[in-house]
Amino acid sequence: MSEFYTTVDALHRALTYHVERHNVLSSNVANVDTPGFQPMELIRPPENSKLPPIGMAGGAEGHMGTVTPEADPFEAVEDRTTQPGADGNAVDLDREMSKLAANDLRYDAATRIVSRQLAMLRYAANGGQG
Amino acid sequence: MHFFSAMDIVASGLNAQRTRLNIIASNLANARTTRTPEGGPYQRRDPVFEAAPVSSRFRELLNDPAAQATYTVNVAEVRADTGPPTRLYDPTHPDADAEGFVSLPNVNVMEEMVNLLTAQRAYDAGITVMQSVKGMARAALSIGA
Amino acid sequence: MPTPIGMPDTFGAVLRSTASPTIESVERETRSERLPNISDAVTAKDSEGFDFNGRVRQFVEVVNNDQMDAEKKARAFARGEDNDLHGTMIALQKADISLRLISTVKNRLIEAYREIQRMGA
Repeated sequence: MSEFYTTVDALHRALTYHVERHNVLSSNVANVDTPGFQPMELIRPPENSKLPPIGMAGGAEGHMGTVTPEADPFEAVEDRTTQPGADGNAVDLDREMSKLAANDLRYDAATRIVSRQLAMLRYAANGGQG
Repeated sequence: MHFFSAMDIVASGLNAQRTRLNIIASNLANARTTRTPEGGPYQRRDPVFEAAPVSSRFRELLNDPAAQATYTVNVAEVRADTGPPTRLYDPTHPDADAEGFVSLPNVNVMEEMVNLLTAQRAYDAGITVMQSVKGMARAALSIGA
Repeated sequence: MPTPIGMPDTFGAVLRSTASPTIESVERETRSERLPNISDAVTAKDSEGFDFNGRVRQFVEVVNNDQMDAEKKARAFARGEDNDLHGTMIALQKADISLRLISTVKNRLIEAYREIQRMGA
């Protein structure tokens, strides 16, 4: 039955990535004037079939609130694209804001796509009726 | 994974910038203040921002790589600028010294205005981010609808 | 009712004929083209070791887990542990789908059983 939800789980992972990245980018914006601050980025490994469904690592007990490390394979790195200013702060506000706008849009798109996916599965689960 | 920590981060930024705006307003208001309770002309103030890691506040995020890269910002201190006062020759001024010079606050109005615009821009950016977080949360809530 | 010996694929044929992608995926998962005789299905495994009853029980367990997971997440939300919005929403949807799925499968199985009963009479 787990192959039923392969796409849904992939989209779930994408949603989690975008939320976490939004936090990292928001932190960059909040620290636009903090001396010595280096902007951070969150990168994710390319999607492959070896990743477990969200929260299923180690069993289907459904621990709420905690994210098992296997289900959270992202990596936080320093974004060294921009040059630091006189106070050592390297945050480019325009760059961060445009990243945030794109990230927001991707999250929104993923929620819609996963909703469509779930609607199709629901239709199939109803035996092709409603 | 944590929408509401994004809100906290943004809120900390808004607070920090608002504090900065207040300090700038105080500097501008006192640009010509020659008498202070401490004696001598007003000394301009600067906020000192510092980043605080989020993970110390949300213990369950310790396994979360994103949390390692997330920081709130707060005003660590409000530092007085101990730079020399601006000396202006004005013997008619009540606080002129023996040579006719007045010690005015070390406030450079142009510099304060630039700082004000920077703070304003950062504040507006924070508002925009908060709106986007709200939008994302609403999108999540419509999953399946 | 006489045991329908020699008609091992009838059940599968009836399921397939309903043309539901759900049933097909369930059947695909069992990876077996031959099902045991209906009267033996309750207790026995066939010569290839396919345990129909076990499979159904497994399926029910998955559905049950989905329900429990959704309920846990909903309760966590009520308590204020509201950090995983999309995870909670997806879990609720999965629970809904699982429940519908098992209900549909149950109905189809009953239909198919009745069909076979009529044939044997």
